Amino acid sequence: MGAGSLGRVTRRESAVDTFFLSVESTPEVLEALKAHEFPTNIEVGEPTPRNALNDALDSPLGAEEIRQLLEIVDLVFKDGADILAFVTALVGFVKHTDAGSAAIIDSHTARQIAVVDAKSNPQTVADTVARSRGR
Amino acid sequence: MIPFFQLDPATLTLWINLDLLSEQPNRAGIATVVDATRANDDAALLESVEALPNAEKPRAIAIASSLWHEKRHFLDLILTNYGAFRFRQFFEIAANLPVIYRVVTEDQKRRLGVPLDLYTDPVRCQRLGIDTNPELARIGAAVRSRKQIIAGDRSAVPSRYGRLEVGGEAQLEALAYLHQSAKAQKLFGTQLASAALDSVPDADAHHAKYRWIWDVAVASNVVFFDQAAENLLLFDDALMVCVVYAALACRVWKQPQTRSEASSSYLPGERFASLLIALREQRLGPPQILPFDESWTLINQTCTRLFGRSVIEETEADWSIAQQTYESLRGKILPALSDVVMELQAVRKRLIDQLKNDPQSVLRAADFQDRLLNRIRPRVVLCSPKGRIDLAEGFEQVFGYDHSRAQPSLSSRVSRWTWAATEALGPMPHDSGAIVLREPAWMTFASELAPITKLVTDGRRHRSMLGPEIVHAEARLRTMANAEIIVDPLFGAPHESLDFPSFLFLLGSDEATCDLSSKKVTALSGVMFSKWLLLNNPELAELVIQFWAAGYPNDSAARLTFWKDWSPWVVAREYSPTQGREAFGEALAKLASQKSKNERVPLGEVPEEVLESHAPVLANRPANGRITDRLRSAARRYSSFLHHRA
Repeated sequence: MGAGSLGRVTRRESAVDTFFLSVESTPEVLEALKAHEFPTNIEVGEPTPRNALNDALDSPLGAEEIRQLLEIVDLVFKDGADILAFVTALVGFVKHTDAGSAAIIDSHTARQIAVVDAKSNPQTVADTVARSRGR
Repeated sequence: MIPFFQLDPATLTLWINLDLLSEQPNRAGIATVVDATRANDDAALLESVEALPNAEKPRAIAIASSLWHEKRHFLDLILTNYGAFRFRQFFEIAANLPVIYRVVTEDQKRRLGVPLDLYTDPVRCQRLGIDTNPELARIGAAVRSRKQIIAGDRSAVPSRYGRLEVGGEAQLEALAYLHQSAKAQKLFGTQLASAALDSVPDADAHHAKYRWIWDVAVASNVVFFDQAAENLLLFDDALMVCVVYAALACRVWKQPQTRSEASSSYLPGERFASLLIALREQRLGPPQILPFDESWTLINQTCTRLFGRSVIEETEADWSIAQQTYESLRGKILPALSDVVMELQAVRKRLIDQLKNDPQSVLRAADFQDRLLNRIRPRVVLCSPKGRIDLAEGFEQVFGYDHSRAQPSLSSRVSRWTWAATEALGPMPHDSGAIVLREPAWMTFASELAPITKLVTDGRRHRSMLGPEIVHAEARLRTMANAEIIVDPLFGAPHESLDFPSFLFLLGSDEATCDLSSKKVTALSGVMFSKWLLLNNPELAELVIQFWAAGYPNDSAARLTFWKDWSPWVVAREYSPTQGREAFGEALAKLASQKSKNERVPLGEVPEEVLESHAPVLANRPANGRITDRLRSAARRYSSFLHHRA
């Protein structure tokens, strides 16, 4: 029994030229992302809420800060897809909604790679995303 | 946030964290306070608080009063349309477990991805290497749409007081808090009650979550209020409670809605705003304190005008549709589910009659405290994330582990433990006036069906008091269906924020013991993290186990104790695993070199014979025969997706 044999999340590697990212933000931003016409080698999945259906109610002995409930969506990038085009579009959607920000997440580990807001430089964010793939 | 008490809306059970109780510096004093509150014995509660040192009284009252808060949730989740809606969302997925089971067992690859909404998305299926499946996609779509409905109602709105939620969830919290604070004031006086309720950590977050309704009451200009002193606000809480109850009488089940520019009969958040706008428009002068009867009549009349139904009519209509639906499902769903939902309907009917004939007892704080609160007895699940419960007579295990199931030759006491237990007979078995869910099937539901339902709807990303509830569900489903359970990493751990200062408040201490160095740490020098951080980073977990293992006969002992203890971790900042694998490893190595072998046995002794074979732990735990048989049998009989109106 390894330390994580029960708790480890099953992870599957994809083909070398295909990789996945997830974006977490408001439903408005993800709706715009879904509707955007990306090149055919960038495919956007179905946004889904991240809130639980079954959360126990909060306890009055300590409350969590109220936050906007967010959704998440998967994107698959194939055959050298242009990360910069994706980030540029995402920054635009954040800028034109009330979202404030969107998080780019490694779909396999759930680790946050970058947070973009209206002032983010798309090239810098795209470089961060590209570097994260090399880790 | 680590809950002392928590009401699970899926199973309507009240969970009590015994670890937090047992680790109080004044364990006896606080336990007496909690016992008196649980027993609804106000005289004993006053006496037990009086016996405490003055400095401890506010925190003790805060703890005791939070039990009233959870009991109020129990009532509102059963009685209101919104509460029934919440339960139904969960119930519908539970009703479909046989279908899920059949689909998985028919799948040649024997794989099930969770949460099920991933089946609605070919991209997620591709990422996880899971085949799409139309039947699971239908259930997944139902899961997703229900989450979206609840998220829509819970949308945070900006206000002059910061972000506020005003939907059903927030209304339940505000209602429970109003009644909690009213009872605390009555029992302990305004000054001590205020000190108690204000003693909780993170006052701003607390205010936004529980007291938002006071701000809205003042800003709405429809509820009488008076700033009686700098820190004393008097306001007409009866009217506000009536407004909230009318808002919680939401109209669901796909019934026709009434909508206009300024009103909607649909979800609680929309109804709440509709009612405040209407009340403001129709009032003739400055707000006055209204007698309760007038408040209730005013709100019912306003509801009839806006939505075409009074609060009572809306609630009765909701109950009737539910009754028809559940009766039509009888024989088509697992018998345990039928039993729990029909009892729930019967108790709800009693409460609706009480609201109809005696609304003060439900809505007016003073009457509620005197006539109803003491009759509310949710089933209690006593839990110990550390696995330290000794099962007393009259109690039965809800979640536990027994190593001898995997290795029958080992039956030592330390190789089995209990994480959660409940009274075998259920609460108040002989009191017909009690508001209680007595059906034995509730325990099958809470211990077997509900955890699996939570897993398929939310993966591991839901708030729960006990981690083993999640891993039990995974192990059970894996064993029953002989299938690989694939948890989407994006839903791979509970979404919880653990705040160390809040934890210290709950412990009633300024310091706690570092789980690695055994040194005392304060809010400044310590950090807190969940066991899931280690479970999802096996390399970090391995470093901890190897560090412990030096103090045991072999590393198996460390592994077993690692699995047993699901309490949050407290460590000195220099030993935080969030600094990365390398730095964490170096810090542990340095710590190990400073300690002698005998000093590094932090978790008690485990006899060597227990640990000779440690491979098949929960993963191979035999499933409960009865429920497995029922599920298999139901899967054969009912193969189509049972979908009733949302």
